[in-house]
Amino acid sequence: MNTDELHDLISEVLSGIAPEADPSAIDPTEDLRDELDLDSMDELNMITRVSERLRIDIPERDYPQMRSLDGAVSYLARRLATHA
Amino acid sequence: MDRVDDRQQGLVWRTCPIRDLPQDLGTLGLPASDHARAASVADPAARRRFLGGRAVLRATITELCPDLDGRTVTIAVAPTGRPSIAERADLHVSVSHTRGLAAAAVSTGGPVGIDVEPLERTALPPGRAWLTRGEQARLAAHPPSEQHRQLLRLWVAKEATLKAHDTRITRRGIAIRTDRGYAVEVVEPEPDGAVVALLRWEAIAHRFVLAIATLPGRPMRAGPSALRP
Repeated sequence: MNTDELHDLISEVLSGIAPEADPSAIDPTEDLRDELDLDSMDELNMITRVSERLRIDIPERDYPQMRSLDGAVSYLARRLATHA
Repeated sequence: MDRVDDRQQGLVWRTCPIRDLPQDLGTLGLPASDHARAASVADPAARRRFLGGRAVLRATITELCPDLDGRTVTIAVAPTGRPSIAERADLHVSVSHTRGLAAAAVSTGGPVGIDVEPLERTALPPGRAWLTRGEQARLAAHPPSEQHRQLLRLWVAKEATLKAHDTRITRRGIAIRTDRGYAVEVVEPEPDGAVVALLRWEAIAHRFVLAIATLPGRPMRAGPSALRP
């Protein structure tokens, strides 16, 4: 899966968690919690859904790397590369 | 606003139903810095929740510290999200706001964490992502009709504990032990049973569950809530 596909996947998951938000309008470098008013439960829901979709484990210590859209894409690309 | 006053023990916490906020949020009397921060929140409902959190926090600061004007203190927010009061480094504060309710706790006796969730919130993350195996087993032993409430209690308890610590303790690294006075214990990486927080739970108007965590050595009065049902 390339970075564009990862971006689309995360956006799709975010749409399910924050349906009133517009993922295309967010700044990909900013904290998703601020951009979409996600709380900690939303954040964990996002991470577990992405984890299930990609069939990879995301350790809790790595959650801070998933805080922005760009950060999440980079992190997931690295994780997928090591799983390949 | 409803409030609980443990002032003798250096802890006061309050809740504020979001519906009780005035339509014109400019009449809340909050400083421009709060409104400036709120302006960065796109969703109007989220903006109301944020300002409700600021309002209840400032009122609670004044409640515990009459010599301090909570309406004007500077609220700093660390990258971890933890708020602090610039004028009083010894003051520990915590805020939680969710759909329908904002809550704040202020302590002069050490770190404190508060978290609240509405009972109607059903889309919780899967338990394997944040519960210990023991918690999952104990949860499964509850009747199905009770499991959702228990799950939310565990969630707010862990979130309040994480806020009190502001460290890299993980959700799965702490366990709620209701058989030991609602103590929160470390279970990972070393299952040494160290108590990392003491909890107090509240049910609010049958609509919300709320937890407050303080660190060990810090007394917390037990007993019935002063909140109106």
